[in-house]
Amino acid sequence: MSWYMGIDIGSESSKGVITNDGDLKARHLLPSGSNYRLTAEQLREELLARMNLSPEDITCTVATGQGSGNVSFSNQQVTDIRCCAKGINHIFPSVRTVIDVQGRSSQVIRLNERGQVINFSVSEKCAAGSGRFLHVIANVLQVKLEDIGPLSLKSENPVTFTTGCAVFGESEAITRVAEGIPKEDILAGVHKALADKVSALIDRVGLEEQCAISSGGGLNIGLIKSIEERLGVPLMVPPEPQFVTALGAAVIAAVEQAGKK
Amino acid sequence: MVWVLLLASDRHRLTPIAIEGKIYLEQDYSEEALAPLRTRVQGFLEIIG
Amino acid sequence: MTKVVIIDEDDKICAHVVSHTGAEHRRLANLVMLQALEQAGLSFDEISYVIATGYGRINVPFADRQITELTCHARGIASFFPGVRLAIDIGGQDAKGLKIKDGRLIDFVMNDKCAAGTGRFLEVIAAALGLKVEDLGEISLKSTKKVSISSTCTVFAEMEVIARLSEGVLLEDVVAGLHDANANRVARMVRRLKVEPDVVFTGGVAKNTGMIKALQDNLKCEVFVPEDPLLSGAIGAAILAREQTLEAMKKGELVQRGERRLEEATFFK
Repeated sequence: MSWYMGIDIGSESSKGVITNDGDLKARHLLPSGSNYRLTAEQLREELLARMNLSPEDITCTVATGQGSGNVSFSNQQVTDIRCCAKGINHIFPSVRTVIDVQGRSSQVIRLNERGQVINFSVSEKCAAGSGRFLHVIANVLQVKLEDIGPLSLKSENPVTFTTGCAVFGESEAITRVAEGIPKEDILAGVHKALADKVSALIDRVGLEEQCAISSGGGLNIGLIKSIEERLGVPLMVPPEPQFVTALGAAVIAAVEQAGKK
Repeated sequence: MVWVLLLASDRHRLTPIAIEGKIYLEQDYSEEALAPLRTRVQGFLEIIG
Repeated sequence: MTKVVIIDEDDKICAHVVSHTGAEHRRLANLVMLQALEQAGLSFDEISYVIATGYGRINVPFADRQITELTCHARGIASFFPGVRLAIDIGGQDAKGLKIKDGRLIDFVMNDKCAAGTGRFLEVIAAALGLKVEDLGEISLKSTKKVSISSTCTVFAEMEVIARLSEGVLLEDVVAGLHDANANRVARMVRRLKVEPDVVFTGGVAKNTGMIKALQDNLKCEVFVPEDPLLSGAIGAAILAREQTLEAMKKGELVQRGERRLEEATFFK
């Protein structure tokens, strides 16, 4: 009975999973906060408690994400690009392109049938290329983040955001509100804008089906639909998109161990 | 029209402008949104003119 | 902002007005014009030639001609600084680099896409810190140990700043770091034009002493600032108007004027 742990410390949220025989047994999420080391330890504590395990029971732990260097108990650090690819491959073996939209960055990963990374492109310097843009607009419209997706689908006349900047976009949204444009149209517009940014990332590395979405973006039905429309391909959505990368880390932990035997 | 846009753009941002030029033509943009593009095109013409 | 400048044939300024351009005021360039005429003690018909510039130039019904702010700023700056080779115009929502030779615009770069590297960056930060934009420059100059802000995006920089402050970093050090980050964005852009003296900094943001210093630090050269950075575009437009009129007169031609109506813009949305 071998247990593996994957810890993904992201810039906004941190995720942890425990797997056994390739099955996801436990998962937990915490805000990353400013003390990544502490967050990682809290994640581990909660996961072990849920499974009634002690630290020694974990055969191997792989850490990933921005704060991976702060996971004191990890055996290995692996890039989140690799973990995301492995995670998606584990859930949907037919996927060859992953669109990973997170709170502060987005990336597109091309992978092969074994979940190995062939190519990738990242947008991490610009708020408008990440979930942050959605946050900003949701704030302007006073709509809860979990509602923006469903609400945006009601739009029949999406607004076109003319700039690719979250700051100017915020001003545009405010102006649209003052003009009486309904919230769903503005939300549909920002989802479209983010889909355009994703499309630009796809242009850099190409697209091969099947396509999947992962991380926080995968929880947003409005974003999923916008990207599908923009790219003209359906997106496979994992059941718990936020945990894909952590799962991938745990899968790599198991593979590395198996390789050692 | 696209040819003109390609030529008369800020030479240091040729590719993005050209792509943006295409998007501007495809979609219905407001006066305000077109202003920077108009300035780039006219500015270039004023330099060579 | 709407600025109007009236000059005489010796390029001496007879009137200048700076007024806010809100969504409402945009239509009302004619009112700002009337203010300027009053200042100069002139009637509209006594003005030989009117050139409109800036992003709202197409909506000035009483203009004889429209010329980009790129050409106009170059001309205006060159009138104060004849040796200018590079002019940097940082406004409220964009930034431009102008390559100038013998007083004429020969090349340019523009950032109108990203708030970082424009006046907007400073506005956002000021709001986040509960400070007035006008005070930012002075605060930044108090710093002895400026913090390095790694984010190039306004939104992320704002978040980084709040984190730095909560760690106990001094306000002036953070503000200095922000000016540096903003200037860095501009410097990268204008380097595409080659940085050669004389370098002149203009536009609304040039009134910020912290940005002047930050720009000098990033470009590693001296940076000159006109007395009234807000007016260089309008001054340039006026000088061009004078030049074109005198040129036509020399040739014995009638100056080509537009169909002037000193009234509101009719088709601005």
